[in-house]
Amino acid sequence: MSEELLKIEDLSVSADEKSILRGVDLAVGRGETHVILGPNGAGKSTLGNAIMGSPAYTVTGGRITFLGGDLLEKAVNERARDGIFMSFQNPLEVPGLSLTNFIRSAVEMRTGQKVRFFPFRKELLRAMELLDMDPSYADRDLNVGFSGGEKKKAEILQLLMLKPSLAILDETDSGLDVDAVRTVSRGVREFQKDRESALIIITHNAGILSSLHVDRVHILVDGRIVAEGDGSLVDEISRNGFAAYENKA
Amino acid sequence: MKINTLPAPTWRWLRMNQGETDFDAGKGGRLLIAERRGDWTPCARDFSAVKGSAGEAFAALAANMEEKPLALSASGEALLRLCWRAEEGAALDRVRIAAEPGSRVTAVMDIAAPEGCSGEAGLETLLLADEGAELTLVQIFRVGAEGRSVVSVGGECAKDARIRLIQLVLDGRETDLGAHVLLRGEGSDFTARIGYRANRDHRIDMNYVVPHEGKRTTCDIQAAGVLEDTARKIFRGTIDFRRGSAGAVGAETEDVLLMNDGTVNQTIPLILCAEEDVSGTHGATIGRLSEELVYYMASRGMPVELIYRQMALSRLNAVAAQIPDEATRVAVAEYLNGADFDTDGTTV
Ligand SMILES: Nc1ncnc2c1ncn2[C@@H]1O[C@H](COP(=O)(O)OP(=O)(O)OP(=O)(O)O)[C@@H](O)[C@H]1O
Ligand SMILES: [Mg+2]
Repeated sequence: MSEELLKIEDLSVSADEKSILRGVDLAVGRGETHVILGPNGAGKSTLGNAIMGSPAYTVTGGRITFLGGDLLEKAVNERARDGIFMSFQNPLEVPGLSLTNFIRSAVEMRTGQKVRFFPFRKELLRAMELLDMDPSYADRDLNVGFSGGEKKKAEILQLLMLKPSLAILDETDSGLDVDAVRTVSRGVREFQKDRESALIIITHNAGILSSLHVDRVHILVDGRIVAEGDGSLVDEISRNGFAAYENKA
Repeated sequence: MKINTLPAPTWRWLRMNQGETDFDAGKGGRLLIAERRGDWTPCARDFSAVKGSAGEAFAALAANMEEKPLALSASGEALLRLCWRAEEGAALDRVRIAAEPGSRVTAVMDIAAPEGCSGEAGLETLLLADEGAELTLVQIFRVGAEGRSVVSVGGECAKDARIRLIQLVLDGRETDLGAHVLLRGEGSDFTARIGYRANRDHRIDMNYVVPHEGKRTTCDIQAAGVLEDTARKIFRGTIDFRRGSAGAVGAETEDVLLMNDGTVNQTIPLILCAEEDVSGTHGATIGRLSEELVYYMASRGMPVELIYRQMALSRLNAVAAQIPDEATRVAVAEYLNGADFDTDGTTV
C-alpha cells in the first residue's frame, strides 16, 4: 500500500445551482497513475476543477484531503504551490507574457526560490526537445497563435518543469494527431519516472494509455463513480462503451 | 493653462473637452543627443504651420523659449536618440525633425528623471514626413513617481509618407501627451501604439488628433494601459475625415485594465466626417481580467496580485516590443522588470 497523497470522500459539487458530482470517493497514493473514464457530461472536468479549486464550481458536500491537510480551505495558487497541477482542456492566451517567463514565474512560485536563468533555460530547452517543440516557442507569447496541439504540448512542458506531486491531465490527448499523441505520452512517461508523483488522467482515448503504466481505472457516470478496476477496464470500455454502466449511476 | 483641447468641443463631455495644467517654464536646455546615426543636417524649414497636440497655450509658451529648437533633417536611413534628463524645476525644450523624401528615420526620446525628483519635463516635437518617408518617433516617459511631463507632438505627412508613434508612460505624477498628425498627402498613414500605467493618485491626459485630408489616408491608434489605486486617465482620440479624404480609413482602439474600483477611466472617441466614402471605427475593451484567465494563472501558483502585475506588465511589454531601437528596447525592459511597479507603489 503506497503512501496516500489525495483522498476524496463523498464529494458533491455544483455549478450554477446545478448539481454535477454526487458523492465521489477517490484515493490516490504517491507514484500511482489513475484513469478516469466516462461519457460526455459525466463530470470528469468538474472533478479536476474541484481539486484544483476553480471558482466556477461550488463544493456542496464531502472532503478533499491532500498530503493530510484540508485542501478545500486553500486558494488555487496555494494548491499549486503545494504540488497540484492540472493541464487545461483549453489553455488561455496571454499576449505580452512569454512562455519562458510564464514558466519561470510558475517554477519560482512552486519552489519559493529565485530561478537561476541559465540552468533553467537549459532544462526548458531539453524538455521542449523531448516534446518536439521548436525552441523559438520559448520566446513566443504564451499560447498566442499556438495551434491546438501546440497548446497541449505547452501544458505538458509546464508539467515537466513544475514537477508537481499530483498532476491532473484533462483530455490532454484530444485533438492531437497520432504523432503528437505519441510525443505527449513520451512527456507523460518522463513525468511518471518520478516515483513520488501521481497522475490522474481524464481521457476518451485508449491511445495515450497504451504506452503508460496504469494502476487504477474509475468509471464516472452522471456524477458518480460506478465501477473501478485495473488497467484492463480501459480495454473493456474501448470494446463495449459505457452502456453497461449507465443504469448504475 | 488649457491643454490637450479637443478639435471639436462637445457638450456631452462638458469638462473633458480639454485638460488643465499649471505647467510653466522659462527655460530649456535639458536635451542631450545620446546617439546620431546616418545623415543628419541642420534644418531651416518652416514648422510654424504644424500644430501640436497640446494646443495653443502650450505652443505659445514654447514659442517664448530663449533657446532655439533643435532642428534637424535626415535622409536615407537615420536614427537619433535624445535624452531629456530632468532636474528639479521645470524646463521646456523644442525639437523639429524633417524626414526627407523616401527616408527611414527613427527618433527616440527618453524622458527620464531619478526617482524622487519632482522635475517637470516640457517637450514640443514637430515633425515633417516628406513624400514616401517613414518617420518613427518613440517617446519613453520614466520620470519617477514625483515627476511630471507635458509633451506636445505635431506632424504632417506628404504623399505616401508615414509617421509611426510609440509612446510608453512608465510612471509620473502627471503626464500630458498626445499627437496631432495631419495626413495631408494622398496615401499617407499614421500609426500610434501607446502603452501606459498609472497608480496612486497619478493622472494621465492624452489627446490624439488625426485630420485626414488626402485621399486613401489611413490611421490606426492603439492605446493599452493599466490603472491602479485612484489613478485617473483620460483618452481623447479624434479622427477627422475632412473634405477630399475619400477612401480614408481610421481606427482607434483602447484596452484598459482596471486593477481596482477607485480608478477613473475616461475616454472620448470622436469621429468627424465631412466626406462620405470613409470608414472610422472605435473599439474599447475596458475591464478586469477574466475569471478564467486568473484561474489559469493561479493554477500555476501565482497569487492574484502577481497575476494582475504580470498582466499589467504584459500590456506594456507588448508596446515596448515594437520599439525599433534595440538599446531603447533593452533599457525599457530593464526598467519594467527591474524597477517593478509594486501594487503598493514601492519599487521591488
Ligand atoms: N461552469 C459550469 N456551469 C454550469 N454547468 C456546468 C459547468 N461546468 C460543467 N457544467 C455541466 O456539468 C456537467 C458535467 O460537465 P463536465 O465538463 O465536468 O463533463 P465532462 O465529463 O468533463 O465531459 P466531457 O467528456 O464532454 O469533457 C455538464 O452537464 C456540464 O454542462
Ligand atoms: Mg471534460
